[in-house]
Amino acid sequence: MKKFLAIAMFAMTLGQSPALAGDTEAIELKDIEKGKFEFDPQSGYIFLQGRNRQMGLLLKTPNAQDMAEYEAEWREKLEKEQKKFPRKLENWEAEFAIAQGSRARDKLLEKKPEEPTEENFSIGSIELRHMVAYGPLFVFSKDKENDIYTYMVKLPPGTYSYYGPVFLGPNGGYAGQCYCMGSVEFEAKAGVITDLGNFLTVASLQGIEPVSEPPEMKGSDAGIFSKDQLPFLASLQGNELTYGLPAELASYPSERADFRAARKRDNFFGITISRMPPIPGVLAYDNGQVVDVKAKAAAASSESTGPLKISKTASAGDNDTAELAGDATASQDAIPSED
Amino acid sequence: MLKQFVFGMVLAMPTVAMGQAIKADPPIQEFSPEQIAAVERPDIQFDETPEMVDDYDKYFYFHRDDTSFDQAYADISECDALASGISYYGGGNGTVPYPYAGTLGGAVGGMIGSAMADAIFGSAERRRIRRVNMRNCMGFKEYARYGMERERWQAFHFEEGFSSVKGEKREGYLMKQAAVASGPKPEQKVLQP
Repeated sequence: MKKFLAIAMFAMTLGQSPALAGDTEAIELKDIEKGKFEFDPQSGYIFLQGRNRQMGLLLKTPNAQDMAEYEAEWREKLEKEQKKFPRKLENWEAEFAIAQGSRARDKLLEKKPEEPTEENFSIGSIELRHMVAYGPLFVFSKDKENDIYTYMVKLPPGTYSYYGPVFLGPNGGYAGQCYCMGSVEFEAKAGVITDLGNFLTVASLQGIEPVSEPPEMKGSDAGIFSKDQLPFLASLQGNELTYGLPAELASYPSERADFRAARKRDNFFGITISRMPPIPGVLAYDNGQVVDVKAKAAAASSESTGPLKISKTASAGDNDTAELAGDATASQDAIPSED
Repeated sequence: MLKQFVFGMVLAMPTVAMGQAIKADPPIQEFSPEQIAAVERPDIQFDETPEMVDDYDKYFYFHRDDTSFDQAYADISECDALASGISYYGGGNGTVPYPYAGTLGGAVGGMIGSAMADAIFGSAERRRIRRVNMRNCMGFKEYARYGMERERWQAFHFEEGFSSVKGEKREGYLMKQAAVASGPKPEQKVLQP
């Protein structure tokens, strides 16, 4: 089993405590075969598969305890910074007085310390304290003949959203593309292996006829999203959803993941932004707003007796995505993470 | 575009402030007619040359029909934040020290971010990624993209590599972009997103 040292090292570069580093492990088939694997009923597990090596980053939705701890830490650090501020300002003022008439004056002016307040003080995003990376190394198993790679990860139970095909390097580097503008989430229950299948890479490609050549693109356009790219991706990743655990895991409790639309996320690493393309019955978009198709369907079938939040959104329809999602009235259930 | 209220499903993570550390999503900023009228309308008329067309991957602007100034400003602000790695959505903020810590380089659709990549690819790659991100984000929001002559473009846009544009200056640029995005429909050809 391999600890995700990369997460710890990466988190340290951002000044974050690597909360998940000790709780997250990649499980390999050879661990089971050698009797080194011990199933932990208090932990969650995910299993996924795909053509070629896979990689991705998952963000755990903070629970009440996570948020209380974050809040307490934020409060403590804010108070410390507020105590330090008068001294910082004094030092700056002394330096600024000396710099009058020199070239350094303007630069110093830009560096005038800002008083820390509840509005402007941050200890970094809570989301980065609870992330789980998988791949491309530490595969569970690989079928070289069919080019199928599987991955299994032990993680804290909870709700996880897919941040996108992002790789965290051991030296603080990162590669990939975030699905900041729309993705999916699922629950990983304690004592259960949650089967993600190849959903994360293939769900948006279902039924798309594959083509072997990518569409022409200028070098300066690398990273631009285009629906024209999907047929080529279908040739790389396939276009049929596949689930299933290998025989070696058959004796453990497992269930298929229930994917739902997830809210937008910040571009934490300053990388290329994109979104997961629409997924029939799960994810749609309305003028850039994420639409939770499952929630909408559930609300429609029960005539929505529960409380619903009200939020502002744009009005025009995102016709092509709504059509792809089989949901021509998608605008009625947008997740209010923007606007 | 008229704003309307719609029903949104309960989020997995609250968007309301939980205490003070976790901030709420920013609301749409509402501008008075006087404030909107005071925004300088950039000149977007020019005679196109083949050389200009070659540079349309760098110099472009956005427009969407039936879009209010408030909505356009909200959309452009969101995309500007995402493009630059600035915290925008609720759930915590100030994640990456400003200017953003990551940078990118590399193959189609895949980028490398690290100090080493900065050294290899330099500021130009950061500027390119910002352009790509603005195109993706505004494209997802169904804005049409139009090419622009460089000098006119520079009058209401900024590039961002290792250095950044801050505060009122940045906001001023975004306001002008919102005025164009919500203004009269351009007579030019629409480009690929």
